[in-house]
Amino acid sequence: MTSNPQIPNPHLQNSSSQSLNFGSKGLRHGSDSEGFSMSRRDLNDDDARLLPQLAVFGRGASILPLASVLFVTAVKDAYEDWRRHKSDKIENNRMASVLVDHRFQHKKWKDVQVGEVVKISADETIPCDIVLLSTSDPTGVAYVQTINLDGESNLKTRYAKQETLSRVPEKDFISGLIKSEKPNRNIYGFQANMDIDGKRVSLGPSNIILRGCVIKNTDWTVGVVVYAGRETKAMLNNSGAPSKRSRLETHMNQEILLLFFFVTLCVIVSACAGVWLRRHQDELDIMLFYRRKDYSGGQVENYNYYGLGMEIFFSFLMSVIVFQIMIPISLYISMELVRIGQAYFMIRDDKMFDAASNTRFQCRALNINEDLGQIKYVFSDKTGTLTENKMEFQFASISGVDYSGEKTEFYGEQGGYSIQVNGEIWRPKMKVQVDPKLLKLSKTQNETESSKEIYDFFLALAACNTIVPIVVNASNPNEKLIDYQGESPDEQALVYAAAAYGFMLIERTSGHIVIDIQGERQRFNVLGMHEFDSDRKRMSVILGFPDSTVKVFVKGADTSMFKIIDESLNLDVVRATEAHLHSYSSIGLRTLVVGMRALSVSEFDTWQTAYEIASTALMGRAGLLRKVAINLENNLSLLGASAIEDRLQKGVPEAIESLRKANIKVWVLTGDKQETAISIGYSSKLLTSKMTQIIINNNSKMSCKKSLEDALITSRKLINVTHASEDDASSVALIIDGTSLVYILDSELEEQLFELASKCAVVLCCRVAPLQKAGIVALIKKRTDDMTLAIGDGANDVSMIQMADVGVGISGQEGRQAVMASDFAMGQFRFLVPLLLVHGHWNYQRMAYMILYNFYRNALFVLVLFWYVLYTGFTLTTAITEWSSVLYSVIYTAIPTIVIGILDKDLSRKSLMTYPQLYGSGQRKESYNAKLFWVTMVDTLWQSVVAFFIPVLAYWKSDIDSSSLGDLWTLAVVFMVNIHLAMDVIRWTWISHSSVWGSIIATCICVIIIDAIPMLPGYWAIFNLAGSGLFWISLVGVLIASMIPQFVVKMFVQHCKPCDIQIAREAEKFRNSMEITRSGEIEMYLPHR
Amino acid sequence: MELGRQLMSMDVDGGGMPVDNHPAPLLRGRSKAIHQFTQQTLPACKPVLTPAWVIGTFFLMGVIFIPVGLISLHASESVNEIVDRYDIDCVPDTFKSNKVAYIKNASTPKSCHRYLKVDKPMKAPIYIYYQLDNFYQNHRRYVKSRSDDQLLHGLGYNKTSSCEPQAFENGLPIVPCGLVSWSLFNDTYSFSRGTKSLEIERKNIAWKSDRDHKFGKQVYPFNFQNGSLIGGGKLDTTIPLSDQEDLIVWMRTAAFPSFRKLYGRIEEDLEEDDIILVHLMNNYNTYSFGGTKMLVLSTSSWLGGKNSFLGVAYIFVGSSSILIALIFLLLHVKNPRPYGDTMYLSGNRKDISS
Repeated sequence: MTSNPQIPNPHLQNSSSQSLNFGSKGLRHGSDSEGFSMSRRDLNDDDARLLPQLAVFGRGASILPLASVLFVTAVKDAYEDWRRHKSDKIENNRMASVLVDHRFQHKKWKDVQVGEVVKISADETIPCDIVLLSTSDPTGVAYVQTINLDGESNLKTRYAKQETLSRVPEKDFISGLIKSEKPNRNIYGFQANMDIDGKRVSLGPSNIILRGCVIKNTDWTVGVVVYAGRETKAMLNNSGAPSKRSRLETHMNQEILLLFFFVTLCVIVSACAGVWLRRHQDELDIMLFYRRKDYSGGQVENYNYYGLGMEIFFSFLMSVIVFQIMIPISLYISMELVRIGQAYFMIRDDKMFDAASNTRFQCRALNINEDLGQIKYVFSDKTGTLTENKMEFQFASISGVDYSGEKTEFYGEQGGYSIQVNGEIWRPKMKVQVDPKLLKLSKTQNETESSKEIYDFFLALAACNTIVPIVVNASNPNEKLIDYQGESPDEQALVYAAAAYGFMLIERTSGHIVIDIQGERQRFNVLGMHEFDSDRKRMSVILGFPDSTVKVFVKGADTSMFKIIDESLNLDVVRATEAHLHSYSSIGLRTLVVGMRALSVSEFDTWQTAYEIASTALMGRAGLLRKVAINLENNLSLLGASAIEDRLQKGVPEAIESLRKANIKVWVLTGDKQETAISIGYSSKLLTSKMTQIIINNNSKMSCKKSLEDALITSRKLINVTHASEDDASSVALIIDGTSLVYILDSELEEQLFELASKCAVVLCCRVAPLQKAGIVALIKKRTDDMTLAIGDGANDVSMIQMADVGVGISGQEGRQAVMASDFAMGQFRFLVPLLLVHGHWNYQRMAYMILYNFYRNALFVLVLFWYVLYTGFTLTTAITEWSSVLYSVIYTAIPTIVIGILDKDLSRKSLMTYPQLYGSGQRKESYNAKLFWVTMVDTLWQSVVAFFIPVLAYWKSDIDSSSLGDLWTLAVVFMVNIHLAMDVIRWTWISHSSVWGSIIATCICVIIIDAIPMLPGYWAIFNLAGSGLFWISLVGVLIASMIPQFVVKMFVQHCKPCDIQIAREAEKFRNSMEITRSGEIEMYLPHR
Repeated sequence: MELGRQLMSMDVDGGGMPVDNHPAPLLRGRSKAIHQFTQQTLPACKPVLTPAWVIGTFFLMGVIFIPVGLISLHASESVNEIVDRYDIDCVPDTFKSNKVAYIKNASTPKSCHRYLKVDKPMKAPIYIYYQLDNFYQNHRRYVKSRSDDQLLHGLGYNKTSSCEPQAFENGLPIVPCGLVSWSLFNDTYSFSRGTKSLEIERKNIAWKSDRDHKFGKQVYPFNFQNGSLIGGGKLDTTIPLSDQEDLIVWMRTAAFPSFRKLYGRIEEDLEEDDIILVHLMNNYNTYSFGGTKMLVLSTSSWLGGKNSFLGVAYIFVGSSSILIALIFLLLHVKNPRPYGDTMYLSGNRKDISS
């Protein structure tokens, strides 16, 4: 094969930039998040050098905060990149077997080039998109599993072309040219042609196997690479996870008002400076403290004075520099650090550790932790997310007898049924729990009427399916396992169940099947098969028995089966079975009904002629076959019914219940059949029998419109009734299928669907394609402000995961695409509850508080600086030393906010889990909203006034110097912000104690060190200050007076309008004692009264 | 009343109550601490503000603040001060319309006499301050215009660009350089009571730390006030900067545009109705920018000078605390709220109301 040189190196790289770039990325990051950071850097670095006017701070002092921000951001980005690189590396370095010099050699995935011939063995993952050349099957068939691509777990067939399937690449030299369309993301389409041996062969979707698929049931396949690396369809579908920003952060940016505030301060200062200069215009030349003129040189000239306009402009720039602390740069860095800390705790949480798969929670995105506390909608995949994707045969009802007796841990004799073949033991791969009574009956063959029916029932289960048994080696050399492979997991479960009861399917070809019945091999001719279709909702197989009788076995959904069962045969059995079916499905089991009829010779002949005509017909073959089937499938005698459980993951109903109580709407979006989806809905307690179901299945836009309108009317009516009766059990569930959604999404009907869906308590979408899942998420995202979360495990959930505000991947058994695309990944669906209710709540509370607190602490400091500027002729002098103003956000106040932001807990895990409604505080944005922001700002204003003016008035007309007063302000402000924080800390651990009090001590030490440097104007000020009583009295006065208003407001709010969190906190504290007092109250209080 | 049923208490939350069914592993020592840390179940104190606490705190604050306020007020009251503004009165009538010309003219006599009456007896030490108003000693241009290195190292230190425009004069460096020292205050005062002159102690008016470590013992004034524009006082070139206490006091720039600076101390008691004659030299030019000059004699208390603000503020804060405590007490008695009753959670509230 010739390789196409135009196709670039397929080396994979998921991560957005190489690790070497992280420095520049850090810079970019800083500027992304805050436009001001760059201008600030410029000011300090460049302008300040050019204009001595602006050298407010020394070089070192001005560069320190930005340097620390950049450093921490760079380190964090480097770490994230490194992590992503590591996972890329694993993927890149997987081995593929590639034809080199007429031999298949191992080559890393990243080195596989377009045009190379690769060989893939069974159960291996395809490294790139390949066109099939040949397979181990002589007819050139390969079975592939596409679960990674579209989430469907059944096997699909792919074909090698006639022209190539007999070639053996190691021996034959074959050459050809494949011309294919450009790489695209359509996983269902492929168009190409291949010139081989002078012939042109067209290639279609059935000839290509895509990257990420797994070869099954086929020993090997050989193919030629057409797309590799990033150009594979899987990667194209996967590319460009949109970067997410947390809701809180976006809201925070809305407080651009803060910037407005900041600019206002600067404008006030520069305007006042202008007025001041203008008023003293004539005095400035020789003014003792201004001295505009420089007399030292030959001629008298202006010193550092460029005219009134420029002076105003300079004062504006200087005020920008002096008040820069207001700009929440330190906030961004604190948020990043806090998120890392929160991620650490989420990862380390034992309650989210999946012991079964030994996986911990994964935090893949580090910037949306707090969104977890505000989720209103959860979009969940079904298979593999709610369920384990493992079907298990549970109960059987055979001729009216219910075998749902107690299950034993004991799996039949000697750990399950097995047979001896050529000295080897063959046993089914999966063990099924059996009902001992039924097992016993099934062993007594044909002795009684009931055992005969049991025989037929299990024979039907073993025969009436499309399962292919495959014998695989077991760990024990004397043992072989039979693996049943097939499209339907339900059928697999039934065949395994039949095997467990001694009806082991051993071989299936198109002509016959071999079943080992209780140790005796029997061969049945498969005379015909009517496959499952969605109209009939059943399938049938016509078996020729060894004694040359012919019987038809039919298996299907109960609704379709009871229509064709001859009730006259045994009415009691039918009634009993119906009752059993009802009880099975009410506990969420998937039921199937099995029937049988013996065919007379004439009946068989009629059928056979019709069948042969139909199956060879060129036109309308499917319709003809269906007709034949319907003619055959009637007057059946009922054999029984089976109940299969698609086992829900552990704790799913409880989790859904908790989410519902937390006022989170859970929508299930599944590719499954509607019936399955509904039954899972019931078993997961998503649907209850009290709910009214609105089902929308339509095939045209008009009918969609009509049913939506009808549904809206119904739902309005129901909701009105609900309001009247105060009974929220009678809520509405919407069930809608993918075909209807095709007509609704991206059309004007969207609006109606949204209106309807928002009225419904539950929404189930069945048979939806991956992109439709994303469409539904977008439907909500576009129209509401509510946070959405999507959770799924398969590659078909990727688009939905990326679309939602928060994407959660289940690290299931198969496929990592969902995890790769997700923001968070975990092992089990039920971990969603601790993730949202506990960690989400904590993260939100912590982050919201931290943001408010950061605004407060920066604004407070800036305001104190501002007030002083009013007393300096508006010249931006700071009484607080420049080092203190730089260290303020780096050392004095930085650590406690981060520590509290990581560690403080408003409520214990137990309370949050017990009262899911506490989650509502995040949904209602209780901890961070515009009102709270402005209240905080007013409080900040008050505190700054107190902090500034109490010392001013206390030292008015005294001989205090500015350095001493600056130290007093420094200490007062730092103490204030730390005490303010301390008053809001809810849980004091030794770490919070040491950080809060530690930073107060650190501040004192820093102030002392700064004042011990003789070269600074404030030398020894703090020592002189601390010796005076006035200092201490003012300091204490400032601290108390500043805290009183917020304390009073907090008290009154807590007393009069306690929020949920407050109540729960008190409950946590008093619950135990309350229970005691309630019981002991009478004895305790009576004697006193 | 059951206000104080619960006080703050230590408790370990989540410690012994695993929510899931796998029990918390029994761990000891270090690994237990790590486990508690990672599971966020470190032992913690969670104070909840109960009415008892709130009322108690406010009451206590009132009880502490009012006496402290009273004591402060008393201290402030015990201080006596005499303030005399002389900058206008000391200008001869002929120059009243053009004070700047008067002060700039080196030949006009600058001496001036003031009589101060002592209203209340003043105990020694009596501090003599001069007070300047409208003088922005904290102006940005001004505070930057100095070189602390030069003050300590003298001529040996020559990176005095910060001192501009007062760094060089006639091509030679100035010691001490900068606007701050250039504008040194140079009014002088002497006092007499009756016929006897009052001794003024002019030593130890600057901070000891400044004298010892900030101003060089070997640094002598050089080329100071030699320029065409004289800002203020001159310095004796034979005295090292560390002993030029007026300069040291002046160089500790004041915090506000109205400020006092220590001039000296009178170590004698002044009696009631004493008349003090102040003989002063009115040299310093505050006229050019509308500043004022005052002479202040003041005793001192443990709280500093005469300033009743803190006392009043303390009493105000204390009494409002008590008021708040009372309001809250009333509120609690009239309208008690069950604390920690989970029936009031928002999800449950509906059930209660219906």
